[in-house]
Amino acid sequence: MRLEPSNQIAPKALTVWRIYGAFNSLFFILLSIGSILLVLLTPVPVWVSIITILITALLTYLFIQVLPAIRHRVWRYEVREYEIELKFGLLIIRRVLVPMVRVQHVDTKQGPILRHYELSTVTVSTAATTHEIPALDRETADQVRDYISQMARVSEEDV
Amino acid sequence: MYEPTRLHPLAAGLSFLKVLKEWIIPIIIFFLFGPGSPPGMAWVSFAPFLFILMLGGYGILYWYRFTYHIEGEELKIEYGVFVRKNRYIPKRRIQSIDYTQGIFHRVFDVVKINIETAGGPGGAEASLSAVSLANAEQLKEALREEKTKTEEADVLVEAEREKPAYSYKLSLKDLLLAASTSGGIGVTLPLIGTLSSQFENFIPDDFYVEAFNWLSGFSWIVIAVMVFFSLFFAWFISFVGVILKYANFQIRRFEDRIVISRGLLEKRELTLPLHRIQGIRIVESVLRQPFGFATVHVESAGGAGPEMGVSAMLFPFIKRSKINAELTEILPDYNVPEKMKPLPKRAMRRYILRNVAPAIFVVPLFWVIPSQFWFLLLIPVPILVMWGILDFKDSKWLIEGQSFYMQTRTLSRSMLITKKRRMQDFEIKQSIFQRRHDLITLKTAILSGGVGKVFQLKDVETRNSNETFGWFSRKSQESKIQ
Repeated sequence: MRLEPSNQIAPKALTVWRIYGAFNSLFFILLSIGSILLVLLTPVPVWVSIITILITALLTYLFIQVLPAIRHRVWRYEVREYEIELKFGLLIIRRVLVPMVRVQHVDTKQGPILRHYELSTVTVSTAATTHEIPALDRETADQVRDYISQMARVSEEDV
Repeated sequence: MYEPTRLHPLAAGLSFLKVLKEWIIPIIIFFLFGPGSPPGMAWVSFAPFLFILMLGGYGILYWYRFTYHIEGEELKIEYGVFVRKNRYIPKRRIQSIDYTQGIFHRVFDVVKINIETAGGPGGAEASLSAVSLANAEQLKEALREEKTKTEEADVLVEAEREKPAYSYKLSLKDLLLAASTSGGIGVTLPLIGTLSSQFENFIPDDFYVEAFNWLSGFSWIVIAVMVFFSLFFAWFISFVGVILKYANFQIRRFEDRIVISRGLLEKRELTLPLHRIQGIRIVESVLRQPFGFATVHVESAGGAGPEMGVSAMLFPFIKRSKINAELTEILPDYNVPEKMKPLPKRAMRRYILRNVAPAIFVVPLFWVIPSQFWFLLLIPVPILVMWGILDFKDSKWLIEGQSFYMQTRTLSRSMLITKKRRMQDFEIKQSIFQRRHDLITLKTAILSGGVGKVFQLKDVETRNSNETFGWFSRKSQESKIQ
């Protein structure tokens, strides 16, 4: 059995994902508020609102509590001399190998939330595909980026 | 060649026609519904002529300003009427040069040249709309990276002398068979539909009522015959389309490149450098598979020219059993394996389920159709089950040396043949349902015409996955050496 990639992403990523989850559930929360108003102002039966609120509560719990935790537990990456290995997923666990020779360029990027937590996303692009390591603390991300870009440059096979 | 050269004057005519095409509808509208000629302003009715004249002038000016030449290691193109533009393309960056000949081109014996670099899927990097054949050959030779810097004349002579190491022509019989089994009906039927819907505007409203009355006067046999004929018509159009496209199909293999040329009315020539080839795809359509015929496509990184996105045909129509013999001549690195690894038996259930699942969409029809016909709705189910089984049986894969093979079926059966060093990434996926059955999905992407093409095979035995992952990993390779 092959060893799994060893590095975990930043613990703070969990917090960020919870925030994203909160944003996602916002839509459903608005929907529940709407359903309450609907029940109060129109002859729509009460159970419509109750069901909406229950579903919202469940989804909010999933989005904020469960899914980020699973995702974070699963996420692993490893940058080796000749390849990058990623492992991630919720319902579908994916393991990806990207050979260094195939890497065309590598980026780091930060959204406002990531910046607040001093995190960066590393994006690795091959000629055909793009892969992401979603949240590393900034120094690690910069290191990873520099290392990959350096390794990618060294080995020049024809495409 | 090394002096700024203009295109063939046909280029002026072509650019005029191109602009005219964009303006033709406004011009016609002006003619038909124009302001007429108000008293004392008769010249207004001449305005379109003036406009067309201006367009012609523009075409000539455009041609006059467009020059190309080679300077040092670059192809330089200077053009533009109002805004002068210069484009320099380094020779080394050129991925492919391909020729097209439209009908006008053939009259004047000129070609259109598309020059492609790796710069993304944005179409041709430079396009010379009309170059005389002699100039084109010269340019092509000059653009190919010269290995020996001899006199220009020598290079030319040498180029003429260079004989292909191998060449393949599509026989007339194969062409006819290919055309008749192209399955283009599916494409042409909607086309005819759109065309006929355009006529609608010219047809009086009561025509339909009359036509319907007229039709219902016939028996269903007549209607069946008419349906048959419209199908036949659609088939015939696609038949002619394929003939026009693939007549004179020829592949020539030179030391470092493959040249594919084809076409009857419009001649196309495509040059693919061998080192850019990423993989081969063998496609057996439903119509062709029973007779043992297949189509072989070649995936190339950039430089699929006007066929961007669509991979170039290597063999438009070939007996499957003969593919290996031809491939050894043309791309010795690639071959069709004797036997491939099947999926484990337990995956069959998932394949059947996946195929049958869409049948759920007919359920609402239960309320629509008369109840005594409900059994009609069950007809697709056994067909879909059979299809699922077929799908399962055709799903195979193999790793042999540096080669990766993967066969799948949607409607057609298609096989990917590629090399480890051509695979951009490699992925194994496992859903929670697959985990229960110890199955995984293999997925890879290769470069095709500047964009990625993804291939995946579902429900492979998990045990194999580690092997496969290890095969692709550079780490394991390294440790083997140590």
